[in-house]
Amino acid sequence: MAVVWVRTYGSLSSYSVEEDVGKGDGAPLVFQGRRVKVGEVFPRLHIPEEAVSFVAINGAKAAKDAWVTDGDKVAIFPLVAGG
Amino acid sequence: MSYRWKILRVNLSTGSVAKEPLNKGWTEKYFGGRGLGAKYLYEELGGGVEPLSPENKLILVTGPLTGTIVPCSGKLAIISKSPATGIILDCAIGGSFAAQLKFAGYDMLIVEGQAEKPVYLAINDDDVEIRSAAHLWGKGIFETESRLHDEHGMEAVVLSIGPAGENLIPFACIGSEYYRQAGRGGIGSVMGSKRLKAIVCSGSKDVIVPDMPRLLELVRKAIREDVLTDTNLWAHIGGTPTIVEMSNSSGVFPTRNYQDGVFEGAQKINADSIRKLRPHKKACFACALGCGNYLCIADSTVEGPEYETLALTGANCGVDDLGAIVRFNADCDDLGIDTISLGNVLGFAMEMTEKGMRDFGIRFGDVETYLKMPRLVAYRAGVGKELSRGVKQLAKTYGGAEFAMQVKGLELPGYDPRGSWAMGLAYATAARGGCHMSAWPVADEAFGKLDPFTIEGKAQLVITGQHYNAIKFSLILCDFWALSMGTMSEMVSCVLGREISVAELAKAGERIWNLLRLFNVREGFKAADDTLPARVFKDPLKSGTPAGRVLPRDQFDSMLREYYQLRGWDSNGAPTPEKLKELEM
Repeated sequence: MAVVWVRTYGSLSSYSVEEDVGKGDGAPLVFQGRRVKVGEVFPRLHIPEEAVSFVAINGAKAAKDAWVTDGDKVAIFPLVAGG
Repeated sequence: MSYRWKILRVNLSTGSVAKEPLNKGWTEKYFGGRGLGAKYLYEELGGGVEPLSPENKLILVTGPLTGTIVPCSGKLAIISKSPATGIILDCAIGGSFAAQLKFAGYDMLIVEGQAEKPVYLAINDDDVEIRSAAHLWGKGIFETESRLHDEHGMEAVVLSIGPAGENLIPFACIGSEYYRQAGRGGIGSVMGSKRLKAIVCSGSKDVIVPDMPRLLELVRKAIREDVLTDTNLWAHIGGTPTIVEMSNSSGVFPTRNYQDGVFEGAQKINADSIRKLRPHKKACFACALGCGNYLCIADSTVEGPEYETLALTGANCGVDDLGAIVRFNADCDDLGIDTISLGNVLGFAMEMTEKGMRDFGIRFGDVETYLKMPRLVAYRAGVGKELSRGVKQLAKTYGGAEFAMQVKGLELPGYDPRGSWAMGLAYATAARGGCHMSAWPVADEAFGKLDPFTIEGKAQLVITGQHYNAIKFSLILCDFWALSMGTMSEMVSCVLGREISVAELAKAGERIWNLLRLFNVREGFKAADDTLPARVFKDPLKSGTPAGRVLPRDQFDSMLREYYQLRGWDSNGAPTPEKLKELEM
């Protein structure tokens, strides 16, 4: 079993549990396997994959097919324009 | 057509106020905002003018979309010659001044000369007065705005400078609606040099749109399908602090004067930390997005802090105390100081001090001293007298040029080019110096899918971004609406009553970019000036994805050569006669 801590940002915030956002590690998601691909996190939160532009695992940029394991922290961002 | 076809020209030396026709031919080639303002400045200024002399001009420009219901069309362009760089300076400021200027009946305001004593300009439709600002001089932007609202009513919109602009600090800004700024390149000190404390404007006239039913339908559709989408709503929901974590995770978050790209305190100043402290939001004129997020902490309130402020006055100064950053930000807003430049100045001074090269009495993370700096700099008091000169001049006097993080005299924004090579080219070639508002390829590289550590295709990526923003900021539209050129073409065709194709807009974007370059070439700038601080080429980043990376000098040179070639410029970075002919310039 793996517990992955997930935070979502910008317009993707609406896919998360509101009271968990902004409180430290984010919302916990439990997976059966010991490790999962980060892309499997998106459907659990009903986030369309195409809406995800940027993913960070434990504070470092990661690919959508990167692995996450128990205790990892995942941050999910939409496409941003401007600056 | 949505133009008013009128320029208001005010000469503060003679006290004359004139209303004259807008050059129709130029609007067809340069539209408004950045492009049209640059055209007027290029034609009227001549080369070699001292930026803080009465000969320099301050040009405030609306665009064809200003004052209409087109979303995100509330910005005003302010064009001048920069005292920080000696080259073209184009700034944009949100709020509702641009719409009021148009409603008062003017497409453009040109301010010339220099008043004998402090004045402010009051515009109410056809009534234009130069009034004494004796009671306002020396006041901060917040008090200045409040007093002018008392005198002219809350409907009047104010642009003003603080003590930094009055004292001619080369990174003084112009403020409006308390927390919005035309921030960069010392535009506030140009206003200060003219002894112009403020401009107050209110208008009651119409903006005529030839085909209003079509525009209404276009705007309805755009808001539903193109504006309020995930790509843009991040600016409303999380605001620019969303970028803190992306930037830090990508290793491009400027930390301790760009010595690192990952800040250990980023979690304390990211969107999560800020989100819960926001009491309300605000939008500019005609904006459906509403990116203005207020934050109250302790006894300080700001609209922001925005990403650039968190990056440069936070991580770049080694400060992770959000309350301190907000207080610093509020002081800068009131004094009229650009936070990007001051954050760089302090980061540079901190590194110089810690390396023992020159003791400026401030070290990374020293919050107590840091909080005193905006005031010291704005009044040129104590160590502020030296620091107020900006990074480039400090390095000239005391050394440290290799880590003076500036391009052409303008301090760098918050994206380290060692982790986003195209961003390096964008900084090196931006018309006003180290600037992120001409092209923002970091979104495609560090925050996107493109490999940040290759130069392949990057020259074209930067050029495309520069042309896109050149036309977008000439119409004028806000950078937070990531609209297509097709949508731009539909909107502008509707307000002008003639069809403007995507190809025509793209050509205008290139024309405007070449015009900005011509201005700088006339001032003597050459290919050698299109460069980056030596740190970017020599000092590898320490942490995160780009750990161990530099932007290799030879790779940068190749990218720059390809950039000139694709642009049809000569090897010295000047537009060729053939290119100018092609662009009908």
